[in-house]
Amino acid sequence: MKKSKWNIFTNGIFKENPVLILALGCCSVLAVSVTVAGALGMGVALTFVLVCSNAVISLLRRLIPDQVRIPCFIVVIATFVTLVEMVVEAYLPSLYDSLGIFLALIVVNCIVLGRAEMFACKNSVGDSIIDGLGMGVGYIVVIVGIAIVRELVGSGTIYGLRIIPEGYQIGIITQTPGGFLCFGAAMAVLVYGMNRRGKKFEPKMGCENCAGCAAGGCSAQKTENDGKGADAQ
Amino acid sequence: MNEAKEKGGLWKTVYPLVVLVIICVVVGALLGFVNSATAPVIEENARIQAEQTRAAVLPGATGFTELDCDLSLLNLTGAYVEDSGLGYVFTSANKGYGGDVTVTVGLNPDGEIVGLNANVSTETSGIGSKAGQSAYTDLFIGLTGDSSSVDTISGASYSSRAVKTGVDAALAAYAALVQ
Repeated sequence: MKKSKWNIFTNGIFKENPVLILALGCCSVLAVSVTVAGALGMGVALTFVLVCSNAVISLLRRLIPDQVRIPCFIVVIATFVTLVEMVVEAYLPSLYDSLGIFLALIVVNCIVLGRAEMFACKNSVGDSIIDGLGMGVGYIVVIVGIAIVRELVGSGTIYGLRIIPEGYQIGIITQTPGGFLCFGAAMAVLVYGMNRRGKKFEPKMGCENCAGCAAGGCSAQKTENDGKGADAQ
Repeated sequence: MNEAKEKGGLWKTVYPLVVLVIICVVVGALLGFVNSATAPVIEENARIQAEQTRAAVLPGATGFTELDCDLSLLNLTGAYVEDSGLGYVFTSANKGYGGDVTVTVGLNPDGEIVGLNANVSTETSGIGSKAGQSAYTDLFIGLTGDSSSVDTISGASYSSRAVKTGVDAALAAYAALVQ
């Protein structure tokens, strides 16, 4: 089943939303979705790292031998994360303060490593970039969506603008339990919406192809599809 | 043929390492380049931020001169005297809940606290961050000697204790350096 470019893009937003369907990168969503400003910054940073690392790993996919593919991926990903860190610390210090350690943790964000392993190392550069963008947008939609709810209900503000007067907040929403509640609700909303379309919707977990990749490695999965289209999954 | 096989075998082992080393070298160069461009900006930002905080805790300040003292002995990260005789500013980094809380204390020439700033960005928002809000930091204004008259915030002990430790360090430094 050959996927069009548009399909690859929307795949990351709905059918294989990295956070709600593939269940990757959850801890960053739970932690940073407390404010809309932080969520937006985190989403953009992650998307940037995702697109860049997908592109570079796809570029190098034929050169990186299987035995060292994970260290190579991580070096590439860590490079882009460090670049983003340095630039954000220099030019957006308030965002840097609010993201804290979660900016550096993008290195081990499962979405980035997962897409490198599941998609970028088996597909062309163009497709990998589109996949990165789709996954990134899917992440942003989820984290900002949850952040709007959590900031509004938990702090009474949106992006710092006060909407609900002080004293009428449900404080627990900004803490961890509230995060899990909102996360579960978001998952339910997406699955409900997908089911409503009429076609049967079977969510695939992100690690389905992991065993296959680890056993035979990327080279084993790189068949005739390589470079001709995204038929990885 | 054995030789060729051996050679192929050796190259097969070395090739992955070569690729990894090349990637690391390229990456290192790229990061070094970006760092040389951003590090000065980051340093400048930090310097401006520190200056603004000092001016905020000692209203009306015109300029600061660093005091010559042993900072580590006094548990401080900075000690300044204000140029027009308005007083002193002491900064310290104190262990809070999530990281170090930087406390900047402004003292008038008599050793009374006139301004206090606590950076609680590492603390839990909504809980530990209360230790940095003016509702708490204002309680220290006018204090001399030590911070024992101000209680810690219940439910935010680590964060508020960090603020109190910073205040104590500043007041102790005043006693050691000025009196």
